[in-house]
Amino acid sequence: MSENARSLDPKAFEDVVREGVPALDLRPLALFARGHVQGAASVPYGRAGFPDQVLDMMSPGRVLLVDDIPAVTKMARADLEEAGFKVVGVLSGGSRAWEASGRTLEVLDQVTADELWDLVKDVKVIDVREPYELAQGVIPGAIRIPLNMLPEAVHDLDPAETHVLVCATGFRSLVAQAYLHRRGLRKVRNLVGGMALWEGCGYPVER
Amino acid sequence: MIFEQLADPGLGCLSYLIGDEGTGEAIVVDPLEKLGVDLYIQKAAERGLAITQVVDTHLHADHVSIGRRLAEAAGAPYRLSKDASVNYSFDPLGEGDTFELGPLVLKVLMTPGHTPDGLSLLATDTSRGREPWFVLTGDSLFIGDVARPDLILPGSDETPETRAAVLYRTLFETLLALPDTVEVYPGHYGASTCGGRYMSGKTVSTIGFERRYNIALKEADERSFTHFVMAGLKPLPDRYEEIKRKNLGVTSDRV
Repeated sequence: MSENARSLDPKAFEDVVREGVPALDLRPLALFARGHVQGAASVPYGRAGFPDQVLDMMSPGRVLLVDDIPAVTKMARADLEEAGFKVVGVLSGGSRAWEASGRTLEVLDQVTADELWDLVKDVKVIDVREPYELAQGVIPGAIRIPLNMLPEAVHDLDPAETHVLVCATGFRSLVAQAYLHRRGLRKVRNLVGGMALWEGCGYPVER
Repeated sequence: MIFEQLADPGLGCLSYLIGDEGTGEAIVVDPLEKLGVDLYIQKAAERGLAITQVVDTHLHADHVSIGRRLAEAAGAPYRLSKDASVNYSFDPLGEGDTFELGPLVLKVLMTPGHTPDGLSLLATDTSRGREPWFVLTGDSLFIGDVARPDLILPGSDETPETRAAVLYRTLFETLLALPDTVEVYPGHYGASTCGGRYMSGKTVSTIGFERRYNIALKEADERSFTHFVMAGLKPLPDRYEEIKRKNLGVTSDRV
């Protein structure tokens, strides 16, 4: 590893983010969804393909890391630097320090089946499951876009509309939500528990 | 649910990584020096989990704990029984405290005897059913035998006999009160020095099977139980006093 990345407090970290340096959150997506540093991108460390997922998002350059899990930060940093990135700073104390400094954590908005039933007519539901999974039924009116087709479809989505992402259990749709959020769609929500919970609650499906 | 039993076959030690994919959170129980801090961090990350709790079921006498180091590396709290008297700070656990990992609930049962600070974790996966599914027994009930009561540092006013009496109540009143279907995941197996001579090389059993066939649980009362565990003691673990002192956070000879 090259020189030590600077250990930054929330204020200093924020200043570097404002210069346009991307910040990466390395935790599992579910923890990112519950609260993350504003503007940070989710790249969970440890799944196969790190740092390829970072390379998919940006070309090698300066990056910042949110230091939530010190050991993970260290491992990720070594991988990133080997791939040509320069880690210019880490947020000391991670997301908790950010929140403790009085800054708000950004959340990925989750919606329950009951809540979705109440607003289903006012939102666009996107079902990100694979075609073979849809025979069991989808939420009436849902648009069908398999997860891996989302990058092609993102330009057709209206950022002014509220989109609710849906899959079988709520996990793939969370991935989809994080992706759309990063692509600038701020009014995206995720159905917690997915179709399993929607159907479990007795809400209708169309086949 | 994600459940991994991670072993050090050399010492016959077992540790656990238990997590929930939905919330991305995991707990590590009795992490082993032999496996190292990074292995637990990486195993968790590979499964899409962050370690949010690190627990030692008691202060170990046969291996140096990496619980505190793992907790620091993971940015997670380090948890021990409130009855652990150590020279460092930790987040105390008491009877009935719970960890919730999505639908998985782990409830603390105080199970002293081998040590005064022994605890077990009783797990219920509420997405499967309301009954408890398995219990991590730490050093109390093992497969085929039970933990030894005599690993006491000089200067203590405890005796192996007083500890054996406590262990008897832990086994017969706390653990055997669980339903027969509950799986038992112990802290040691095989030739580990922390338990009796009849420990199995198998690393999981059930309360029902141990109730019927565990040799130490055949004893009729506390007196005969104490006699049984004291009669069959293995040699002491290598360097156990030194290891115990390290885990207590003291370096001098005095406790």
